[in-house]
Amino acid sequence: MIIKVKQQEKYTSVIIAEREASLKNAEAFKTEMMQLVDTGATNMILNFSQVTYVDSSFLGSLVASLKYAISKGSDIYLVELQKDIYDLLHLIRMNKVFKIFDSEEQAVASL
Amino acid sequence: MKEGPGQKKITIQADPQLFGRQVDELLSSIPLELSGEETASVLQKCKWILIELITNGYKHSGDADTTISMEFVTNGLEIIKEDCGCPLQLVLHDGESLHWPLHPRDHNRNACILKEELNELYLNINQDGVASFTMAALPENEPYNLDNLNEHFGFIIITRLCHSFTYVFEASTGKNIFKAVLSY
Repeated sequence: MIIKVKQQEKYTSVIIAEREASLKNAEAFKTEMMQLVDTGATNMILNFSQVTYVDSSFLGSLVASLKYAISKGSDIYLVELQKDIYDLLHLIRMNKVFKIFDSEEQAVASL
Repeated sequence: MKEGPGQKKITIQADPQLFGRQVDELLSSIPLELSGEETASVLQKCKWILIELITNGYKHSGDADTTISMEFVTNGLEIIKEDCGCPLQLVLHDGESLHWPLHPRDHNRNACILKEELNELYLNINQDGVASFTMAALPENEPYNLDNLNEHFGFIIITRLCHSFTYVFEASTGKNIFKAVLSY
């Protein structure tokens, strides 16, 4: 499993349990996220604290997961990104697309 | 593998499990004589460029060896990825297929690779067939339709980070040569 899921009262906590989020696990990540949406998860707070490398394949899967989530009335919030990963999202302008927070608590407060 | 002065070269093994180790090996070989903040910024850019070039190698080189070389020049760094896998093929924004080796009619032209509300990526091909990637400057607060957004960011990342990013198919050797030039 690429993600670890914990259902909370108001949201679903999702941790990416990989140091490298890349081509090697991008498809599996997308599949797991879509399956999570299909189980009825609505507000998914995706925690990047363990991730040190992200490549474009994984970012593509992240965007595909968001499109699927939104189409099903769900949403994805990103939290605890390392600074360079945040900068990368900013570079490709995905900071305009995702709701990004420093911590899970801040994301929960926005719900 | 030969390395000249001011050069670092490694052959990338087509194994995504080695991804981080290969990036780290290349990054650790970059000699920078800049301030701490500048060094961190340049290394961060190098990291993303190397990640994308290596990912591109995994995706498109097949079993062919991919070589990444870095050459340190005055106030800059050239990162070159070479392989003898399949030449580049692109489906342009208008649906036209562009593939290498290029037909002579495709020299001296501009092509739009991707156009959506947040990113626009173009290719400028000169008379020698050298293809340069460029990004359009777009308004900061353009509204977007999520469904229209692309899911392919590799060339966008490298193009945004570099002073120049080019692709050449060398017909005499069958080599695909991507060159990213970073200035600092």
